[in-house]
Amino acid sequence: MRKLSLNLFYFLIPIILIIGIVPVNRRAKYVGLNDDCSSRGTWMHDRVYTNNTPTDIVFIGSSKTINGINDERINSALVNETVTNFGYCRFGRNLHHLLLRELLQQKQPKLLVLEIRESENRAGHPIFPFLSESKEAILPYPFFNKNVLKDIWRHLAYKVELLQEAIYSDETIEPIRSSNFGYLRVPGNANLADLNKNKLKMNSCKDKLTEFEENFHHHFAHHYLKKIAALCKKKKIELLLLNLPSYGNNRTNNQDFIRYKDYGRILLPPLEILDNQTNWFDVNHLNEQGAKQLSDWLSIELSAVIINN
Amino acid sequence: MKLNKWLAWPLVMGLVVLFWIPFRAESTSHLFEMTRSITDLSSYSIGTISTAIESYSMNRFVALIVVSILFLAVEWNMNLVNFSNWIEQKSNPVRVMNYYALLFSILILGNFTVKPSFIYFQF
Repeated sequence: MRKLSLNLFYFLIPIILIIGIVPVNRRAKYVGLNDDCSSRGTWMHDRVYTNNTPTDIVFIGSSKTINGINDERINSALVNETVTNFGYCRFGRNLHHLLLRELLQQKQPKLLVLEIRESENRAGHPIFPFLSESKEAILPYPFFNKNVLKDIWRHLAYKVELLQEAIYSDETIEPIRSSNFGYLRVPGNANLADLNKNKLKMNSCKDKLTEFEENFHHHFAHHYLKKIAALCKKKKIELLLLNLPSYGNNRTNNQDFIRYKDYGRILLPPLEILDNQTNWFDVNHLNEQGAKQLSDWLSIELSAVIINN
Repeated sequence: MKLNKWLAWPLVMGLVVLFWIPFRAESTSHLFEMTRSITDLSSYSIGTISTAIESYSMNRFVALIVVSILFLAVEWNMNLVNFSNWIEQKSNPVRVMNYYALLFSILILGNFTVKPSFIYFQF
């Protein structure tokens, strides 16, 4: 049995290596995500690689960032800076690190505003294996990402899928996206009962982790946060951490974010915005009105940061 | 009852394909709908078939036909040979090359669809 397993392993290595080495079109990787997160993949690729407009201030985060940060509005307020919302649905710090590296291939941002929230995601981002290079997908940082094997499979299968599309000339023809901004407007209001229920849930202590559990479960995320902070330092980008909690979260002072203090300055939006129930689309996302208020507040905060620099 | 092999092959193949349908159906009504659709002779016009192939991918369809013919030719030649016995008589490099050829056929023709589909809001 051991011999059979070893033979099988040696047999599969060349296949994995070949799939890993064969290059695929970079844009096709992003276009392949067209059914995901409002086709933001294609726009993000084009914003970085085909749109020559600079990106001085970049927001990276999840859908909370997509719906909460009106980059066009902040851009209008900060006359000399170009602001871009690079949020992507769902959580996972490895994707944020990958997006920052992609961005730095072409752009020279001055400020990176990274979303933080109640806690870190325990695993990597589900989109990471689709966009990453083969080396980092096949040999990922393993501690403690439960999706390691799933990510390896997804990466290899996606590459085979893209290679098949290239062989059979089945690639999706996708026009170049030329928009400078990534904010996604969500009108409408959250159900008040849902908001109140979430507030109770957020402030109950029963789900609190011990320090050991916190270190264990969030090690993977903090590994990538450290890498993001190191990359920003190397490229002379100021890193700001913007707290975008769910409705009802009552953490309002820097002491609650002690683990983040080494990475960069923390921005805590005022409670007048976060506590206003008419500012929410659902328990996790601000609506158009909330995004407007948050963006106006951010414009002032970012102006101060720029002046101080 | 013994059937002529030229009749038996397509008959068996057709029956196998038909007996797969219950396993593909999501419900009894879906099963009836699929059965009705497959027995609707008007849907077998050249126009509808070519539209179906085009929407699948003409290049993939041609590749599928070529590889199917290739496999049938191999099957024909090996007719009474036991594959296991046949491959065991070959040298190690030839065996490995055969396995790699099979694996590459799967990679080229297989369905590896893993593209994500995730919608946050229905606007």
